[in-house]
Amino acid sequence: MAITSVNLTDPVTNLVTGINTLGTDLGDRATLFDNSLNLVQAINEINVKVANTDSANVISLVQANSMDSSEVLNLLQRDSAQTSLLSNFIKDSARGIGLDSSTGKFFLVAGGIDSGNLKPGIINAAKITNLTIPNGKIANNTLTSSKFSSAVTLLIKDSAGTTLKTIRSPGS
Amino acid sequence: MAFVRPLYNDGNDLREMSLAQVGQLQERAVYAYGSNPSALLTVVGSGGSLSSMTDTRMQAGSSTTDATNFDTAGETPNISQATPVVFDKINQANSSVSTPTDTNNKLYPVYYDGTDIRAMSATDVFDTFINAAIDTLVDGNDRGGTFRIHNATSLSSNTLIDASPVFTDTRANTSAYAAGSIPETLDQPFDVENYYLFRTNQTAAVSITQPLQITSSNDLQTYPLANLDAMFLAELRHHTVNTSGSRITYSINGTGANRGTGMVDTRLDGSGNYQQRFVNANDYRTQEFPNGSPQTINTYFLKITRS
Repeated sequence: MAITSVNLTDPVTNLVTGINTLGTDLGDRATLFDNSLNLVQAINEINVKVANTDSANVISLVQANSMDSSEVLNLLQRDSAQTSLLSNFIKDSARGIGLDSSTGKFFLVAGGIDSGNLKPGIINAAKITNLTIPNGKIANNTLTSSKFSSAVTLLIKDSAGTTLKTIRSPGS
Repeated sequence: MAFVRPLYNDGNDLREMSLAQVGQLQERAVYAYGSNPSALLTVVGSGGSLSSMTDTRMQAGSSTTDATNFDTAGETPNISQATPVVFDKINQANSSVSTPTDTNNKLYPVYYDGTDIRAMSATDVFDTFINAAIDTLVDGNDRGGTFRIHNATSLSSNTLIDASPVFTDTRANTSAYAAGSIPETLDQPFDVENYYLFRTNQTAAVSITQPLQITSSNDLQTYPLANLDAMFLAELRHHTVNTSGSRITYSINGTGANRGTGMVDTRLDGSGNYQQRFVNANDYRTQEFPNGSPQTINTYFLKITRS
């Protein structure tokens, strides 16, 4: 778009048109935030705001635009569908994890953790209560004399000295 | 190889037997032998293997006859010893017994050798049980399966082998001789005593602590009583007839212990009872009859020993 201009030789109508065009391009002064200012003063006011960037001003600016805790909680408790985020938490029974919906707390379900949720080889002696492993928990044909304390070996021999049977026992 | 102490189950543990318990087993072996002994005596008509015994007695002297007067005692033949009667009716005829077989080397009770539990060998069994049992069998007491002499045809806890006596003691029957009967038969004896052969019955079973034995599956079990008796019997039957030094041997007055009543040969000790008989004036008879008190000439004992 060309810059509006009026030549000396132009008729008055051109002058009227040109002035109106300038008015349109400049806008209505009455619509400025502070309509007591003229256009130059408004531009200068903006320049002052742009140049005003020290820390106090930034902090003041941030604080002026921050959210309080209730506002944050309110934000967290709402998803995009404006439902409570808490209502979106779910328990995972397969892994023994339950949910107290009233408090939003997850917890381990009693008896809910199965062997699949345990890392192999992580249960050590400290995690097993003394004298609690029953016979039924020991697989058949697995104990060997190497597990005996002070193992004692007793042989049953025939009269020729040939060993017929070997018996091993803990020595104490 | 040696005397060992068998193991038994004391209700909780395996335990070595005390000497007293081993002694009970030795007595049990003696008991078992009584059921079927192998060292046997029989009564035969004659020619038995045991030494003979002789029964002697006196008989009257020959009578005299004189037409004028009685012969004096010096002229009358003296009494004399009748022909001895020989008794050789006891015969030892042992059973034929094979050596027991230690099947799989675990027939016998087990013992602790200081390291292991081990089945006894046949030698261990002999040293531990059989040797002592044989000593008991030949100690002269009434042990089941051994033989003895008795002077009657019945004896408690014993079985008569034969109704025929193995020895008879005879003596001259002085009451059978009479002057009025001259000439008397020279030899007029009577039986003083008959002696018979008996076998002592199996004695009462001895209570024992049963030892342990290795089973066919090589476990330990309490030795079944019947099997234990059978084992002891087999061992004793074998050793008492086959093993030198352990054979049960009977004899008459040999070595060893007496078995039962002594068989006594008695004889009158008088020098003769001179008697006269006047038949008529042409017949004067004299004869000497046996007289005196009975004296023991010999005593025969059935002896038992191990050899």
